Amino acid sequence: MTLPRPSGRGAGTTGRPVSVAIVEDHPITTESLAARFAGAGFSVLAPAPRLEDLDPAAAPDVVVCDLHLPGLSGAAAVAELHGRGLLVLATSGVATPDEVLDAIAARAHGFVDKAAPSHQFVPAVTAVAAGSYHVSTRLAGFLLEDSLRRPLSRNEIDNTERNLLRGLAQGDLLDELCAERDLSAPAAHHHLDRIFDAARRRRRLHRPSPREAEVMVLIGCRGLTYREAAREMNIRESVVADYLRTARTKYLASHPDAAPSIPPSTAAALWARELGFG
Amino acid sequence: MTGLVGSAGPPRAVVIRTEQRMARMVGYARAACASFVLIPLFGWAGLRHPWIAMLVAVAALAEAAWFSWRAWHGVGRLSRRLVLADVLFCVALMGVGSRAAVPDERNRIMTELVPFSLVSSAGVGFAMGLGISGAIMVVALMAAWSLAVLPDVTLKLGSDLLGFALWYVVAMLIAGELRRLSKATAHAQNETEVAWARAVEQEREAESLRQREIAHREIHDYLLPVVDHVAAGGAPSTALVREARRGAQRARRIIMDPRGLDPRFLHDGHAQGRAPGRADGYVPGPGPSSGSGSGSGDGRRADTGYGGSLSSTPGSPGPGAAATGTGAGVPVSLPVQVTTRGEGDEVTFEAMMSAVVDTFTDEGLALVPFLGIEGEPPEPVREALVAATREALRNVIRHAGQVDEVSLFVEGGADAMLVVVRDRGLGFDPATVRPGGGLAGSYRALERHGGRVDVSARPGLGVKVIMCWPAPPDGPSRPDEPSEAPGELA
Repeated sequence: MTLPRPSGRGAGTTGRPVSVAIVEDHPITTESLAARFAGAGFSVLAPAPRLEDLDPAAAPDVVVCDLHLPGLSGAAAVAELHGRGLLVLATSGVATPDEVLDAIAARAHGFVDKAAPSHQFVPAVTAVAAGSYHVSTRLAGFLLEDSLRRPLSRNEIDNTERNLLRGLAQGDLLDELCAERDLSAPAAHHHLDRIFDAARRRRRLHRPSPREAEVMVLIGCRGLTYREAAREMNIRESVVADYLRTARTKYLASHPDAAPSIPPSTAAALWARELGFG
Repeated sequence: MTGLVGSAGPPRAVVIRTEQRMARMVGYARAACASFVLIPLFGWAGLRHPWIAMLVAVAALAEAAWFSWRAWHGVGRLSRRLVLADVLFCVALMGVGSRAAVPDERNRIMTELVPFSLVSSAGVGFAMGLGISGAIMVVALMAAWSLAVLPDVTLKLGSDLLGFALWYVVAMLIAGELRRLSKATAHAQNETEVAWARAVEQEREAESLRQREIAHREIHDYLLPVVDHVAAGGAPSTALVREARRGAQRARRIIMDPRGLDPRFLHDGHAQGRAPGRADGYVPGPGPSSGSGSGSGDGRRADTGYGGSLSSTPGSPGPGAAATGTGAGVPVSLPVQVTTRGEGDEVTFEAMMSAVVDTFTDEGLALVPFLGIEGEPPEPVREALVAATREALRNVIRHAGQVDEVSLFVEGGADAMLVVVRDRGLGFDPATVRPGGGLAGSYRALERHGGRVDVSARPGLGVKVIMCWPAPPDGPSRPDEPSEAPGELA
């Protein structure tokens, strides 16, 4: 699963060991992972049970980040780490497809099920450290389902990429697929790059804009009427309704299980709470 | 005590003087008794070897003189070495002297030699006191006398009596040895028991720690997120309900609730329709079971009802529950989606596959499912596919050993369907394992409905089962062998 990229961060090229930080609040997982990484020759930083415990000055090649953390958590945690210029491998035992895809949208370079045996983490970290991606079977399923359910109007992934995801979702490893399909490592990396880019755009498209988020909070969480919200935001009442409708459309697109008849204010309330705005 | 005058002070001098007197007394006795050895010479003619008697007499006189002189001039206690020499001489004297007489009359000459030898005993008494060496010397003197007078009887008696003594000594040695051995064995056994008990204790502690860690992990990873989600006012969704159900199952397993150990209970107790789901056919029949069949959809993904009915009573009849779930009882209208079902009361393929996923996940299989189902294949095909999938997953549980992950990939629609079951367990060698053996029945059933099953396996690298319907036109299909095992097709 290692895909050395010429422009990678160089962990693999300079010969020094890959350094890994683990942000995870469960000591058992941390210990077993750290032991496995150390056994694979990685240098493991002091474990951080919360994102805030991670030394801001530390510059590990890869951060393995749990998606359910006390304090800053989930996609927000991934975004924070990405903001520090770090490569993130997300992990979780219980994250929903939405949470995982949000983490990918926040520029996580891969996702590994926490229930997966710890030896799966080693190739994943190696791939991410080399600047590439790790697509576990589960992540491949999420990405494939996302692409089938919410197609993009432009720059959508092509059939080769979709079939690559299919193969990964069927439990094949990237190496096996490359060999089977006569795909070079750089070509595979290019495909993954496009897949991740599409996933991010897909996700962004179905996220509330800042103004929409504001309306969602005012009406969904604080229970204001359209008129009160309009006054609060200095806009016309009809614009508030527009924002709310768009938010509802996006909510329905990213929540296929939701009832299509859901009222905009209810959708706003549920989504705002889910996204932690309230 | 060895008799150096110079080393003793005035009170010691008294002791030493007394010892000297006692030594001299033995010396007197030795000198006085020496005269007895001359008496046999007077019966010169009656002796068998008179010259021996002569020799003995001379030797005895000389020894007595030497002994007396040493006893007189000795300092302090009578010398042990002197006494030992005297005893040895007396033994020799009796042994040799008795030879002077004819065998039947040895007693006569011995009567004269005994007084001389008796003094030796007195010397032993003075010099040795009570002790083993003294006793041995006296016994030696007695034995010598006995041998001299009655050699045959003494030999017989001596050997027999020695037998008693030897048996006694040998038995004592053996008993001592055995007792030491038993003691050592008991000690070793004791040590082993203690070590074993310690090992058992450590094992128990490790096991209890492990159990605690597992419980901790299960609660942290599977229960807490559900509770947190609900506590934070998160929207109840089918996924949440499913996770909550699995969480409850895990919790039951932790507290050893028997309901948590038998996956069937979950289905029977929670959604009535699950029981038929375990049969390979998975067809809800007409009548009451049809109602429960759709009720089984409650717990499943993308089906009606449960999305909004966290509070609805488990086990309420299927369609009714769906109706109440969407219509009433929830403060905000929650995301409830009514997906299209098949004709009438038919169970959708997605619901059937979700049930398969739930069943095997609840049984502890680390299943990573992907269900991308767009339409409904014909009913017999659905059934055949589900049965074949169940069989493939069952085979993973039975034969793959410890597997990290099993992927179940289902994609397709009304006119084509692909199911891939992939594990990375033990695998097998296709050259040595004959397909069939009673297990390939449902694979063949799918082939009968126009599908195809490809099993690729390599030892150590897991098994990949590809089930597709309809069978792709290219590539040779498996040779149909309906005649080989017609019973399995039924």
